[in-house]
Amino acid sequence: MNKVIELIKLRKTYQRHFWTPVQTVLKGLNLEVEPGQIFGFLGPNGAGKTTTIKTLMGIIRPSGGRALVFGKNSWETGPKQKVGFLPESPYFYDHLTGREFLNFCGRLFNINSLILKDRTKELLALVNLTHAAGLQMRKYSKGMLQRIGLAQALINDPELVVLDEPLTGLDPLGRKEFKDIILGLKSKGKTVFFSSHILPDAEMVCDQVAIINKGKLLRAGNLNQLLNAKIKAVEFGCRNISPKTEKLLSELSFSTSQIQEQWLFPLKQESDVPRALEVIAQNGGQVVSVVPQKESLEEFFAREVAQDE
Amino acid sequence: MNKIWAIAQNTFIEGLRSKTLYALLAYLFLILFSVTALVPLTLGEHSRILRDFGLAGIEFLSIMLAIVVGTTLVYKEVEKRTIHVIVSKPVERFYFLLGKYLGMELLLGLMIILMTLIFAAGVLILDGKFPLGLLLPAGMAFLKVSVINSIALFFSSLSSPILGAVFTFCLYLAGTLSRDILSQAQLLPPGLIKTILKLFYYLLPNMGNLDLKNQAVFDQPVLWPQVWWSLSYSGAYILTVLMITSLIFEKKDFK
Ligand SMILES: Nc1ncnc2c1ncn2[C@@H]1O[C@H](COP(=O)(O)OP(=O)(O)OP(=O)(O)O)[C@@H](O)[C@H]1O
Ligand SMILES: [Mg+2]
Repeated sequence: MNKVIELIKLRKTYQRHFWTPVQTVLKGLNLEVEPGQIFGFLGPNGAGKTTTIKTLMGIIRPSGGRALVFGKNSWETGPKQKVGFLPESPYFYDHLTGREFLNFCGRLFNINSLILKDRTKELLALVNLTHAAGLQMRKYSKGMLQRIGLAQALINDPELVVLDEPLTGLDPLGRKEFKDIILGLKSKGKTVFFSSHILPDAEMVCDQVAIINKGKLLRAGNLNQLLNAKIKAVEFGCRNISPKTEKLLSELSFSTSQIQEQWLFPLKQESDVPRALEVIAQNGGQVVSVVPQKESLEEFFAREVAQDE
Repeated sequence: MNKIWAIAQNTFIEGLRSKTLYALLAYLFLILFSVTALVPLTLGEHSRILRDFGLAGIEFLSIMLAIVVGTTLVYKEVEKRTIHVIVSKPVERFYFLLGKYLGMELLLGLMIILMTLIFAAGVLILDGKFPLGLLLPAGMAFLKVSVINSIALFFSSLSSPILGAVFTFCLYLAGTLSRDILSQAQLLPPGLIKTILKLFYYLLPNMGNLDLKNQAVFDQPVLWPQVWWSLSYSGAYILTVLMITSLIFEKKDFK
């Protein structure tokens, strides 16, 4: 029921000429995005992320299966009233200024001109382009195009925002700003679907992820559940320990390290924590910290993709 | 409606801010100067020659503009992927085509008005009276150019600009000769070739239908029925071409 995005056995094939072999880019993708989710759509180069997003935006048509946006076929114009889209490495009309471009985009949604004027101003400020609003976009840098691209994606105050690699081409400050904007959208109850290669950043903003490779879905689900399912190690920190404690603890852990006074033992198993505490209690020393080490999204991603290869 | 108008305006502004237009305008002045330089060499009939040249020049240059700019219109949007922005918004693809077409019409209309004014001024200086007779043929040139514009748009959404320009130009030439094709066909015995030639005649834009140049040059009275016929012919032709283009465009995948 009322899914924002629903892919059902989505297939896309390309054939350059009728005599060249058919290339299957999407091989039956199934995916569901619920309202209010920040959905990270991940995969290595050439996995089919952009192809999927283009299908969702009605830029290309599925060769098989269905791509539904707000329950309607993605090429229909109806649902697009509530959708905002930032294309991959965006390029816009050279001859327009940033402000003119936002005005143009707003008019494609039939937005009232007074509202549009205010919103243009707000959005230019939001993406930090007020100073370049009167500059023709031929003179924009890559990051500036990315920024104006995000602004135009928000011009209709969309319920669903689809971003194809929104963070590439931005400086570290820009990334932070974009992440804040995405989180801001979430707090307003919007749904965000974005693809990214910058996994640490993706990990910070999204609550759901899907990983695809070679046109197939590898994993999808809640980010915390996916990562928590596998606790790599528990980092056990202590100080003032006796040589005997050190010896016993190092038997339980992958390695041993010492920074000044403090010792770190990454325990092999979560269930070894009581044993480690016991060792300290019996042989002397102070416990400083017990930190479970989650797998990072980056490691999870690398492992999933490697398994698939 | 507002959406179509937004796209038309954008196309118009793009044309105004592009260099092609200014290159063509510069060319126009070149022709104008060479004509005014030549005119004193011919005895009498100054204004006749200027009118002749003027009308031919207006038509030729605006056809060139329609071909050069028109065949890049849609192609550029697809190639540079600016069309992603439009298609992902609630805009029917047909509206996009219509907007592009109308924007180009605005540009061509402006060009023709400008050129007509310039030539009219030339005649005014030579003759001492404003050549009202120029206005109707200029309007007819606009009709021709509108037809060519629709054909350019058709090729623009099908193939690359250079190929499109070549095809459009060929169709223009063939269209100018289409009367002859028909008369040749009438001479042939009935058969396949005759049918094909006749088919060609009906497919080609019949530029002869849209020609009133002689009337201006010889100051003949206007034949209104012919004007109405030209209007409806070009209107129907343009609509048909736009419909076919839209059919092809509707399910197209953009890269
Ligand atoms: N128009 C096209 N014609 C033929 N093949 C295509 C076309 N577009 C994409 N492909 C192929 O589809 C595959 C997936 O491409 P896609 O752009 O969706 O990948 P991606 O996941 O977005 O990659 P990246 O991370 O590099 O952006 C690639 O192998 C590509 O070669
Ligand atoms: Mg991509």
